[in-house]
Amino acid sequence: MNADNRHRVTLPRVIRSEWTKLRSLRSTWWSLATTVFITVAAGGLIGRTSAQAIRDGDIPAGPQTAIETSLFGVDIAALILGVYGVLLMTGEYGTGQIRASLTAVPKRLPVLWAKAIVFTAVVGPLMLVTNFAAFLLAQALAGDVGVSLSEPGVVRAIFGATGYLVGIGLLCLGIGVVLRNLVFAITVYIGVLMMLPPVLAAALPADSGDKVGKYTPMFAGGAMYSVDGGGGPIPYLRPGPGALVLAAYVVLVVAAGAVLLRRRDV
Amino acid sequence: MIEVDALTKRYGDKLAVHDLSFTVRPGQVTGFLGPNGAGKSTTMRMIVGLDRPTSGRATVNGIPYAAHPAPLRQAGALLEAKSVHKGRSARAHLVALAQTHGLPASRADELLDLVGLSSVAHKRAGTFSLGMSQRLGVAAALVGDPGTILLDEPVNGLDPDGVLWIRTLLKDLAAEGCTVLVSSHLMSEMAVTAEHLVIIGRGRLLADTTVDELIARVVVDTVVVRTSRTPALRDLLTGAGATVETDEDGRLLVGGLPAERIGELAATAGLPLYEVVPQRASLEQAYMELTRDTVEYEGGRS
Repeated sequence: MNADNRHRVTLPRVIRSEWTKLRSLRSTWWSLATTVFITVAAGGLIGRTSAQAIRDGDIPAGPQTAIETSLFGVDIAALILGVYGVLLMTGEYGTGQIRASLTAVPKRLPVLWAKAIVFTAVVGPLMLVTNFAAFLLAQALAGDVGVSLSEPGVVRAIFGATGYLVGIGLLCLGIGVVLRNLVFAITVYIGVLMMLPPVLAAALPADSGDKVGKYTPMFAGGAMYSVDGGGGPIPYLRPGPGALVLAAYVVLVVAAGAVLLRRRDV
Repeated sequence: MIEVDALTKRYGDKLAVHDLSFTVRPGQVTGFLGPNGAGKSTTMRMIVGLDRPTSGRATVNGIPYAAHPAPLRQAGALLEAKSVHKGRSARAHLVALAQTHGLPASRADELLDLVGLSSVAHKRAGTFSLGMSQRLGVAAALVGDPGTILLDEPVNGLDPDGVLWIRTLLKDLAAEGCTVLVSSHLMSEMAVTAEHLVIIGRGRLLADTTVDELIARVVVDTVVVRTSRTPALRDLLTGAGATVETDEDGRLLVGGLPAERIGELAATAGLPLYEVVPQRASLEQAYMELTRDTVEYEGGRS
């Protein structure tokens, strides 16, 4: 019993274990490197192109445009990180790893919490730096029409974009726990979460489409890095409420996943 | 020590395990036998908390596996060989498991050495053959140096070297005082490894016994008889009410008469006997006898 206490399963230990698991998969490095590259490259390219459009007077200058163009890659990052989030759990079910994981941690929930914590701790700082880099690169390339970090709302939007990415990843982790199957989970993420809201917003009468649309996870997330409520196909919520709505989805889906993870047979 | 008490698992309207009770004691290898689909894997999964029993309970050293603060120190399980992410190296897999219990990474190296996978420690598990996967699965089961170990069909897919390795390992663990539960649908495998047998069929307990007791239970009253005058002896014994068949070597397989009576009859008739051997049931026969009515997918069942 003494040795048992010394080797007790604790959340910090499960976090270390999940960190090892994350690091030891090549797919982790590929996903993250691709995300970083695409976000920065898209920001730079589109920032540069749009600078000309600003000079031509086709699009307005200012922080909203600067954020919108230089963080253009964030939606692509959301796609990759979402799929990555889904894989965190469905990868365990698909390969049978889950049997080993849950035999080591039969209380089960620490595995889910540890995955969420490790994902946040890795993707949060990484994407914060990436988003700053994308913005600074785009603005440097924009030259005279570039916007500085000190413009109102810019830094907040960069943090917001990072929060959006972490939120989407966690939401997808939750979807993966609930559905367990990679194909189902990705279908729900891309089909329902990414594609459906714009379709709905277009299909419903403008008024109600906008009203409903802004509470969907993707548009609530979009609101988190909008400077003036613009930048999307529909008017966004304010960033704060947007963040709360996305957080609510995350809590709801992850909690549903936790209940199912506890109850279901592996 | 594993105690299974009135364990029941229902999937929809199908009872996978029905009111199953048995105890697995330390210091010996206990074979867990039954035809495919008998409920062996489900029972083992319930013991380590992967499946929830519909009713009843299973305990490891007195309390449910999941209730132990350091479960891998109590029990380890090899349930299916492929219980590892294909993209992860063998070593990283074991390190991650060890870390959940605060065990050092060096534990992974010890285990890789023990199961003979040191040379492929950094290769991705997805590239492993079934035999290597089984070895990795055994290493994973031993991470916490547990007092109880469960292995589900561990010799499946192993080459002769691997089979011998598993047998030796199981016997060594038992000799060290470990509780060892190993399942198989092959009696022949259990005959050489297990001392105690728990046999189930269609989720129910059929026998909780030793190898010797099981053989003794099944009476096979056949006597093999060899003589130089086969036709004469056959007629004589048939006349005395026996059933007689001839095997490919020309020996007579006599049913319905004890060896003594066969000897007396032959002596009276002046027929020489070279061999009179009462047949003991083989373990395989005993097992077939026991599970005959419970085979899940039997041809011709209505």
